[in-house]
Amino acid sequence: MKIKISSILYRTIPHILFVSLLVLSLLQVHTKGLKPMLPFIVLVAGLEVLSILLYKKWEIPAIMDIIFTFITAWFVYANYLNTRVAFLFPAPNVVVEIFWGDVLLIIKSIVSSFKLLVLGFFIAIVLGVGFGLICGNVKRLRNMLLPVAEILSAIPALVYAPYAIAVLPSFWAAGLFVISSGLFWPIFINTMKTVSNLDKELYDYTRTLKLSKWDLLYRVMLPYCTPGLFNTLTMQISSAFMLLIGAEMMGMTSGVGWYVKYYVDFSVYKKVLAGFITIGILVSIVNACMTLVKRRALVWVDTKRQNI
Amino acid sequence: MGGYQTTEYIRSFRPVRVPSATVPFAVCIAVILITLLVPGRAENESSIPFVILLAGMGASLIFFVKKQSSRDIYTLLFVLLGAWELATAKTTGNLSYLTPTPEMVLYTYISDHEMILKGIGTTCRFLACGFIPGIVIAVFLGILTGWSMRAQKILLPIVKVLTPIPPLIYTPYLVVILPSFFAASVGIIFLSVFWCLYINMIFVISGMDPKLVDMTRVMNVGPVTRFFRILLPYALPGIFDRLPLALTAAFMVLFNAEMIGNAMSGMGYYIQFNARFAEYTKVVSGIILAGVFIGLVNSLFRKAKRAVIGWKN
Repeated sequence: MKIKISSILYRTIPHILFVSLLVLSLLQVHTKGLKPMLPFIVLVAGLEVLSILLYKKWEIPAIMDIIFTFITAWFVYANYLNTRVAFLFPAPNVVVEIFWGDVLLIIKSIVSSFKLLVLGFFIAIVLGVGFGLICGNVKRLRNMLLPVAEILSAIPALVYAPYAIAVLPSFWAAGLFVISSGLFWPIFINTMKTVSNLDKELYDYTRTLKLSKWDLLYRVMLPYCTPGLFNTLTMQISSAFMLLIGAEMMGMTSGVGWYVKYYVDFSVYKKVLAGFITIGILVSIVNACMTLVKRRALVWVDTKRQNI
Repeated sequence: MGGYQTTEYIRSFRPVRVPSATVPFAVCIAVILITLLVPGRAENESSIPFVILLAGMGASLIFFVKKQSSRDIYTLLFVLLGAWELATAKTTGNLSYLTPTPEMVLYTYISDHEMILKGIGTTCRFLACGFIPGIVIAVFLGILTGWSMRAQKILLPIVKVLTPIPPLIYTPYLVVILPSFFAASVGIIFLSVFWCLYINMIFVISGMDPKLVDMTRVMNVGPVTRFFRILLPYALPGIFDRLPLALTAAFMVLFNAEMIGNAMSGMGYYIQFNARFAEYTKVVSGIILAGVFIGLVNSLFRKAKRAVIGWKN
C-alpha cells in the first residue's frame, strides 16, 4: 500500500508544479495583459501535453519535475524577487516572447550558421579522409605525421582566427578556415589510425582478390573507416559548434553566434538568452540527425562487435 | 601465409640499423645558408637567434634523435622553416607587415618576454583554478550518476541536451553577470571542463562489464570503498583520454572570454591585443607559443597517465 501512495505522489507532483506555474503566469496576466504572456503559457502547456503523451515512460515525471522546478524558480526570481537589475535577468516569459517577435532574424541566423557549418564539415571530411587514407597507408609518412598531427590538433583553432581574419579576404572565409581546420585534425588522425589498424587477415584477403590500389582505397579502406569517422564526427559536433560560434563572434555579420554577440554589445540580455536557447535546440537537432544518419549509413556494421 | 611469417622471422635477426641523418642535416645546413647568404628584404632584426636555433636543432638531431620517425619530423620542420623563410624574408612585397619572417617572430620572444611571461602566468592561474575543480566535480558526480540506474535514467536525457551546447555561447553572459573577470573566466573554464567530462563518466561507469558490477556487489563493500577502490580506478583511463579534449575546450573558452571581457594579460589576450594594433609578428609568435604551451601540458598529462595507470598493461 505504501509503495502505491509514493508512486501516485511521484506521478502527480509534476502536474501540481504545472498548475502552480500556470497560476503564477495567470497572476502575471492580471498585471501585464494577456498578449505578452501568451507564448510562455503556450510553451508550458505544450510541455505538460508532451509529458502526458509520454506517460508510459517511468522517468518522465522526474524529468518534468526538474524542468518545471527550474522554470518556476527562474520565473519567480525574475518577476518577483529580483527588482534591481531587471535587464540582466530577464524572465522566462520575456525570453519566450522574443522567439515570437524575432523569429525571422533567428531563422536567418540559423540558416547562415548552418551553411558555414555544413561547408566546414564537408571540407574537413574530404581533406581529412583523403589525406588520412594516403598517409595511413605509407608507414614512414604515418610515423612522421601522427605525432605532429596530435600536437596540432590540440591547439584550439580559434587561436588562429585573428591572423586568419587578417590574411584571408573576408570574415566568412576566415570563419570557414577556422571551422574546417579545427575539424580536419581529428578526422585526419582517426582515419590514419583506422587505416593502420586494418586487420592483417583482411589485408591478405584484399591481396588474394588482386585489387588495384584505387579499389583497395575506395572499396576497402574507405568503408572500413566510416564507423570511426561517424564516431569522430559525433564527438566533434560540440567543438564544431564552439568554433562556429567563436568565429561568428569574432566579426561576422550573420549567424547565431553573431546574434548573441550583437545583443551582448547592446546589453539586450533577453535576446542573448533567446540566442542560448536557439543554439541549444539547434545542437540537439543536429545531434539527433547525426544519430539517424549514422544508423542509416552503418546498417552493415555489427554493432556488438564494433561498439559504436 | 607461412612464407610471410618466415620472412618476418628472418628479418627479426637483422641488426638494428640506425637511420641516417644525412637528409635532415643537409636540409638544416641549406636553410642556414639560405638565411645567411640570400639577400632579402631589409629588416632591422638580426638573423642570429634564428640561425642559432637552427644550428641547435641540427646538433640535437645528430646527438639525441635516433628514431627514424623523429628524424623525419625534423626534416619536415626544417623544410617548413625554410619555406617560411623563403616566402617571407627573401621575397619583397608590399604586405610585409602581414607576413612576419621567422627571425622577427623569434625576436619577439626576446624583446617582449615580460608581457609573454606574464601572460603565461595568468593563463596558468586561470586554467588551474577552473580546470581542477571542473575535473574533480565532474568525475565525482559522473560516477555517482553512472552507478545509480535511476539517476542515470532521469538525468541522461537532460544532460544529453545540455552537454553539446558550447560553453562559448554563455561566455558573454557570464562575463557580464559575474563580479570580476577572474571569476567569469574560471567559471567558464569550469563549465566547459565539467560538460566535457561529466557525460563521459556516466557512459564509462554505466558501460561497466556486468560481471565486474556483480563482483562489486558480491564483495559487499561500503559506498566509500566502492567509490575510491573500484569505480574511480575503473574510470581513470577514460578520464585521462578526455583530458586533452577538455584542455582544448578550456583554452578555447578562455580565449573567447579574453576577447569579450576586460582581460589585462593572458596568452589569448596577447594574440588579440596585438591583432588589434595589426602587429602580426606578435600575433604569430603568440599563436606558436599557445601551440607549444598546449603541447607541453598534454605531454605532462601523458606522463601523469603513465605514472597513474601503469597497472593497465
